[in-house]
Parts: sequence; C-alpha cells; structure tokens
Amino acid sequence: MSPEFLSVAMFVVLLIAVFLGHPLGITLGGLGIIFGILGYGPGAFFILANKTYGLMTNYVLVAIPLFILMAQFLDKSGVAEELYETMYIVLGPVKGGLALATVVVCTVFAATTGIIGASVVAMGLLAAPSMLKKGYSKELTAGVITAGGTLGILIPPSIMLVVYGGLIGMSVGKLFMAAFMPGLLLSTLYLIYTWVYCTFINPEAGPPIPEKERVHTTGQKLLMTLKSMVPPLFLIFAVLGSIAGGIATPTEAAGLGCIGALVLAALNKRLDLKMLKEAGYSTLKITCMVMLIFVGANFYTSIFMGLGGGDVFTSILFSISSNKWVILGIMMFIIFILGMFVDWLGILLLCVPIFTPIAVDQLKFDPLWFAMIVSVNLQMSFLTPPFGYALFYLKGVAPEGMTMGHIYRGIIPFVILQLIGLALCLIFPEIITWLPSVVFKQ
Amino acid sequence: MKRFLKTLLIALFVIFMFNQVYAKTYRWKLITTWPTGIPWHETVLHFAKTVEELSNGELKIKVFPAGSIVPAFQVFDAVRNGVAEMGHDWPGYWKGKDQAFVAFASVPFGMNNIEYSIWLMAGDGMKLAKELYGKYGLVPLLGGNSGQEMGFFTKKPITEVSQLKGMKVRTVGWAADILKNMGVSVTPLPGGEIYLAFERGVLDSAEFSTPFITYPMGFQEIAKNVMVPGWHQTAVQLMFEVNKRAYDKLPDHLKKVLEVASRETQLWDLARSEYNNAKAIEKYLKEGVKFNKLSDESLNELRKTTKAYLDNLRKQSPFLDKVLKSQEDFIAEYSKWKDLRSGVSAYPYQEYINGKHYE
Amino acid sequence: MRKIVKFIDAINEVIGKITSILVFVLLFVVVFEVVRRKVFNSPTMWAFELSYMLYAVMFLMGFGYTLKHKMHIGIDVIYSRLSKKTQGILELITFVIFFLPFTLVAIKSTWTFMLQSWQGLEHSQSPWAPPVYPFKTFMPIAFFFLLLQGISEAIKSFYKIKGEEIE
Ligand code: NA
Ligand code: NA
Repeated sequence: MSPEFLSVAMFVVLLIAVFLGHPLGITLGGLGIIFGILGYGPGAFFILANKTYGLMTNYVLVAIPLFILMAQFLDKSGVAEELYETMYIVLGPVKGGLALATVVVCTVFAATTGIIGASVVAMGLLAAPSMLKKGYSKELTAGVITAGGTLGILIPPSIMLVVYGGLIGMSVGKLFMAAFMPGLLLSTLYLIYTWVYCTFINPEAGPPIPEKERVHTTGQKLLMTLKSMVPPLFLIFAVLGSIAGGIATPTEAAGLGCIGALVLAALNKRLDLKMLKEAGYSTLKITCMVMLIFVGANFYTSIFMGLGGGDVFTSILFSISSNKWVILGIMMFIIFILGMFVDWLGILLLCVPIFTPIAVDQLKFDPLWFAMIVSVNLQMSFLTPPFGYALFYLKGVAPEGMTMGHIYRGIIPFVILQLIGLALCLIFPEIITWLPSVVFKQ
Repeated sequence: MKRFLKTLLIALFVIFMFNQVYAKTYRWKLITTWPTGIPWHETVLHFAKTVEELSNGELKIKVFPAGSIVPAFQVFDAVRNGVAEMGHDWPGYWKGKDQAFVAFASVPFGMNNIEYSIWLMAGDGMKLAKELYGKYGLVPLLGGNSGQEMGFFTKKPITEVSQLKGMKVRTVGWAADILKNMGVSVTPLPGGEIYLAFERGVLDSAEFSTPFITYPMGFQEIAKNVMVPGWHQTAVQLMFEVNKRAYDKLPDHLKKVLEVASRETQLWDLARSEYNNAKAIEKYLKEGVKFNKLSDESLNELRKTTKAYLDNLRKQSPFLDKVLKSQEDFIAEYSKWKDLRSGVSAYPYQEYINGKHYE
Repeated sequence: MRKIVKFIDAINEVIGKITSILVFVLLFVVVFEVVRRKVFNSPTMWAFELSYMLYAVMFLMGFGYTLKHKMHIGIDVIYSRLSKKTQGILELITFVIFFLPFTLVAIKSTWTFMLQSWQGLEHSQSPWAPPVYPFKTFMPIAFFFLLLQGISEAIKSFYKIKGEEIE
C-alpha cells in the first residue's frame, strides 16, 4: 500500500471511528498507531512521546487551566448568575435577550483570552443553565455559546495568530490588527441573526419575559445594571488591562483574572474551602479532557503528515484550474472541508506553508489579507461537525439533557453566518486591511 | 470468493515485487527546528534538492518543517529514535544534553562564519563533532553558517552594558547566563511570545538572530535602536544529524553524496546569508533604525565575564573543554596570519582613503 | 473483578484529588512572577519553566481521574441511542482497538524517552537549567494510571453486557 493511499484511508476511517462514542483523544491516538504501523514504520511510536512532551513544555497553553479556573470561580461566585438575572430583566421585552447578552459577553471575553476552550467552557457554565432555565431552546443556546466562544481564537489575543505569524514569518502585531474587524463583523452577524430569529422566525426559541414579571421601573433597571456590571467590568479590566498595560503576558493575565474572580467570590461571601476544592476538581477534569484531545489529535496529524497527506491535497488543487479566484476558492474549500475533520493546528501546518507561496508569489494576493482570509476560515473548524473543539468543550460542561445532537443542530446557522462573514471579507478586503493600514502607516 | 482471494493475492504479490524493485531508491524524512517562514527552511530544501540531483534520484529526502511531525525542540530525540532519518537545527538547542553542543553552534566572542568553516572542514572540528554526536547514535553533517547575529533591540540608544541594568531582556543560551552574571534581568521567552511581550513593555530589550532572519519579526515596529555588535553570537553554525542505523544502510557512494551536499550547503548558506544580511541592514536603516556600538570598555567587561563563565563550564564538562581548547588553538595559530594579511579590507574607495583599513 | 474495579477507582480518585492542588500552586507561581517583575522589578529565572512543569504534571496525572468521571468525551450521537448491552459490547471493542494500543504505545515510548533523559542526566537549556529527567518520569507513570483506569472501565462494560451496573 502506498503511503498516499494510506493517508486518504486514514482520513476516511476517522470519519467512521469518531462516531463509535469512544473518548476522542484516544480514538485519534489509536488511529495514529494503527496507521503508523501500516505505513510509517517503527519510528512512528516515538512520535507520541515527542508530541506529548511538546505539549507539556508549551508555555502558551498554560493559560488553559488558568482560564478554566477563572470560569469556575466566576460560576461559583454568583457574579455571573446576577449578571444574567439582570440582563434577563433589563432585556426582558426583547425577544432572545439572553442569547444577545451571551454573544456580547462572549465578544468581550474573546478579547481577554487567546484560546477558545476557556471561553466556551466559561460560557457553558455561566450562560447555558440560565438560558435553559428561562425556556430558551437547547439548539439556540448551544449555537450562541459555541459560535460566540469561537470568537476567542479570532479576536486578539489569539494563539492561532501567534502560531500563524511564526509559521510564515509575518508580524504578529499586524495579524492582530487585521483580525479585529473580521472578529467584530462575525459578532455583529451573530447578534443580527439571533434577534431576527427570535423575533420573526421562531419566537419560542428565545421567549421574552412574561408580562406579569415586568415589574421593575426604568430607574431600578438602571441601578441593577450598574450594580451587576461592576464585577465583570472589573474582571475584564484585570485581564485586558494587564495585557494592554504591559503588566503581564497573555498567559499571566489569565492568572490575574483568576485572582480577580477569587476576590469577587470573597466579596459575595462564597469563598470557602469546599468551593475551592470543587473548583480544583472541575478545573482538573476539564483541562485533562482538553489536553488528551490535544495529545491524540497532535499525534494523528503527525502520522497523517508523515504519510504524505499534505501532498495528496496539493496535487488535487493544481489539477483543476489556473484562474486565481478559482484556485483561491478551492483553497478555501479545502481548508473548510479539512476543518470538519482535522484540528486547526494540523490544517495550519498542512495548508499554510503550501498555499501561501502560491497565493502570494504566484497569484499576487496581498499577504496580510490572504493570511486573514485563511484565519477566518480556520476558526470555522472549531465549530464545524463532526470534529470541532468548541462543540466538545461545550458538551463537556453542558447541563443535563443537552446532547451532541442539540449542539450539532444548533451550530448550523452559525456556520452559515461564518461563511457569509468570510464571503464579505473576500468581497470587501477593506474589512481586513483598513485597521492595519491606519495603525501601521508607512 | 475464491477468485477474489486469488486476485487479491496476485495484487499483493505485484505490490511486494514493485517495492523490491523500488528498494534501490532510499526515501528519507528530514525534520527541522524551523517553521517555513524562516530562511533556514530554504537552506534545508536546497540541501535535499542537491542530494537528489547528485544521487541521480537514488536518495530522495522529504523535508518536514517544525511541528509537522515533531515539535521544534524534539528534533534531536526524534532522529535519535528513528522517527526521521535526518534532522537540521542549531546545535545550541541541545545544551541540556551536553554543554559541548553549544561550542558547535556559536561561542560568545568566538570564531566568525569563515573561521568556523575552516576549523570544521580543515581543522579538528568535524572529527570532534562526530565524537560528540556518536554518543547519541547520530552522525553530524555541516548545515550552513549564517554569520553574526545583529544585536539587542532597545527603545533608547545603549552603548554601555551597565545601561541594561534594571531592564528586562530577552535572550537565550550562554548569553543569557553571561548577562545575568552582569546583573541584567533576563527572560528566556520563546520566539512566538517575543513580539507581543516587547510591544506591551513586558520586555525592554530583545534579540532574535541575524539581520536577515530577524527582519520579518518586525521588532523595528516597536523599537528603533539596536545595540551592536552581536558579541553573544559571532556566527550561527547549523548542523544536520543523521540516524546512525539509517546512515549505515546507505551504500558508500550515497554517503559521499551526503557529505558533498553538506559541504556545498555550508558555503551556499554562508554566501546567501551574508548577501541578505547586508540587504536587511539597508532596509533597517531606511526604516530609521539606529545602530549603537558598545564601548570598548563594555566589550572588554563582557569578554572578561564570558571567559570566567566558560572557564567554570569547562570544569563541569570535559568534552566542552576539549572542543574549546581545539578552537582556541586554532584561533591562536590563525590570528597571526589574520593579523599579517589585514589592513586591505575591501571598503569603498573614499572610506579606505579616509582611514577605514581594518575589519 | 469487582474488587479490582473498586481498587483502581480508589487509586485514581486519590491521585486526582491530590493533583488538583497543583492548579492552585500554578496560579500562585504565575501571579508571584508578575508581582516580582512589576512591583520589585526583578523577574525570577524559574517562574516561566516551573509554570509549564506544574501545568504538565497536572494534566498528565489527571488523565485516569478524568476517565473515571467519564469526562473524556466522545461523539455519542449514535452511541446514546443503543441499548445498554450493545453499548457495553461497543465499549469493549473500542477498548481493544483504540484504548489498549494507545496506552501501551504511550507507556512504551515515554518510558524510552524517560530512560534516555536519565542516562544523560539531561538538564533544561534555559538559564535556570533544572534537571528534566524527573519531569519526564511523570509521562509513563501518567499513562500507566490511564491504562489502569481503562481496565477498570472495561470490566464495568463487561458487567454492563451481563445486565449489571457496578460503580
Ligand atoms: Na482572543
Ligand atoms: Na471542525
């Protein structure tokens, strides 16, 4: 069997294997071993040690447990509950008010964290129970949380952009600037859709507050809002402020956020040994879940690359057309399809080194614009089934009764919105290029 | 069913025979510590292409950049354990396994790119390298030399080491220890974290590599001053390493191909890098970057601290002592000739006439 | 068999609970570094490395505990619609084709990886230069406890097929 054939087979078998219900990280790892024996040879096994150690020594990933711990503190401190209660009352008459609030909070949260695991987990713990309690549909709840949480990887700071910049030798600062507007664009699209959906299409999905509960005066609402907004604002300041002010690296900022959340819990008199213990246990379980998927997916991708999986995809690309827009379209299509099955880092390492020289040197696309188009496309991989990190993270913390089926159905409209966002960035390049051109005028 | 099995058996047999015929072609994997955006990736591609052409296609090497099979800092262990037949890197990364690796990468106030090439090819260099790599089941090959590193980016002009005190500086390797010994706060942040930390002020000063390699990192967007010369790395020597078991399986003429291609790559990288280092400096100057030379007193002070630091290390690693001794002997011998032939360094006519005679 | 399950579950429960303390140690180290750098203007040499070491030991040693609590999630769209008996059979099949090869190879490769580090008494390449062989030793240990927990889960699946539940 040729390695090329094996790499394609590896891909097809994954599609079947993930539906067997076994832990994902182990399924991926097991497949890596089976195909490693078939095609890679004895050296394959050692890659597992190399890859695991690579993850163990990756300083940037230290932020994951810290952001998860922060989410645990926030959940147990009662701050989030209060915020959601208030938003529910304030946005009461608006249909889908709580879903809108979730998207807004996610957008702000995205600017504090460079990864998506933490935002989805945090919102899954904070927003999901309140939304379901108020009668929101499970699908809409899953959709806004996963799509909103995914903004974390696009709106800076972002691990994905840091890795991207390092890979092609582009300034991370420029990439960050370029990513702001596409991130806000997606957030806006989510808000518009949610409002339209809950108001005109399916009012059942996001019910407004019942008439008899609307007892608060405008003054009361204003006071409640102010009161409930102070703690989250304090937290955003702790995280964003410390990065912007040069006090901490994004990883350290996660630690400061934890301390902030701990202080809030203490002020609400929720801080005790039992609470700390439980926060520790939950943080450990969620972190281990995320990391085992990382280990398995990393190993699987290595074997796939080693078998020549990358070459198979390039040869397909070049056999189709010579028109620059057609080739760009095919590249986008390949990234999108790969995004359904392979993790973002794999796609980045697989496609970007191959596509960038073609797009920039041969087809003369603007390098920054191209990088950002790819990034907007890549962030979809967190959401597209069957293999999407955001989906698994939410499943890991989802309240009783929310199944993978609800989540899969829930994200469909949001994937379509992301495709619309990507199309807008293709048609109007200024969405990407405007901010960097203002900030770095030469 | 029977017919199906028969067909399958024949098919398997044909595939098997096909592989036997093909066995004369060696297909190797080469893993590196470089992402594709760094020019050293090109160096490796150049080497792989040269090997394929010289061997008339008998040895085909496929290059895998950092992370695609193993993470950058796992290259050494991976090649050692047969994950790939070859690796390419800066040997200083393997400092934790033996300090002697750094001596094959760059020594503060040590040899330059030409001197390294001479010591490695004509002197004892490669013989010592083979001894060191051999302990780990590896065979070293020359992998290029990219010249002197450019120096430390700072926001304000700096000409004395004492001005660095109280600042947070990003550097790695022996230079980090030496600066630390001079009272500077050093943070060994990884490559990807530097830009953001420097931009937000978590760092006050940062260095990465040679002008050509550092330019795309965009530090000039953050700081407009560079403290030169790059005393901490006067050359960037690179190495390939080959898994000994894979190497031994090669017929002699392919072993020779590897050696010839590696020597050619050493020169190719040296020329390509110095050519582009000069071009990168032009670009920096155009963007308003100022280069500030360290004072002679500061350089002497650094030189003394470096010597004390290395003397201490040599006591701990006998092999490092052996390698540095060999380098010092070469430098001592070569310096007499270097001195006698100097004074006619190639400068533009007016600059020479105005007194610029020495490098 | 029930005794084995009880024993393994108890071990991983204890390991998990002890490991969870590392989250707080990590938090302390990270914040301590910020304070040292910003307030006292003297960053440490060790915080950067100690933080990833704590994070790594934490996620490794929690693998078995997380499996015990059924938190290593998979795609259950089909699985959740099967009968208990079929679920049990499927669990045993995936245990043999995915779980066993993965954990055994993980133990074997990380064991070699660890031994090579001990042989050379390998140190980190940073200025702090701590020894890394103890750190690498956690790798085979962690995968061993994951394997143990997998065996416990497989026994549970076996009882599930017979129509009994044991926890
Ligand atoms: Na972000
Ligand atoms: Na996906």
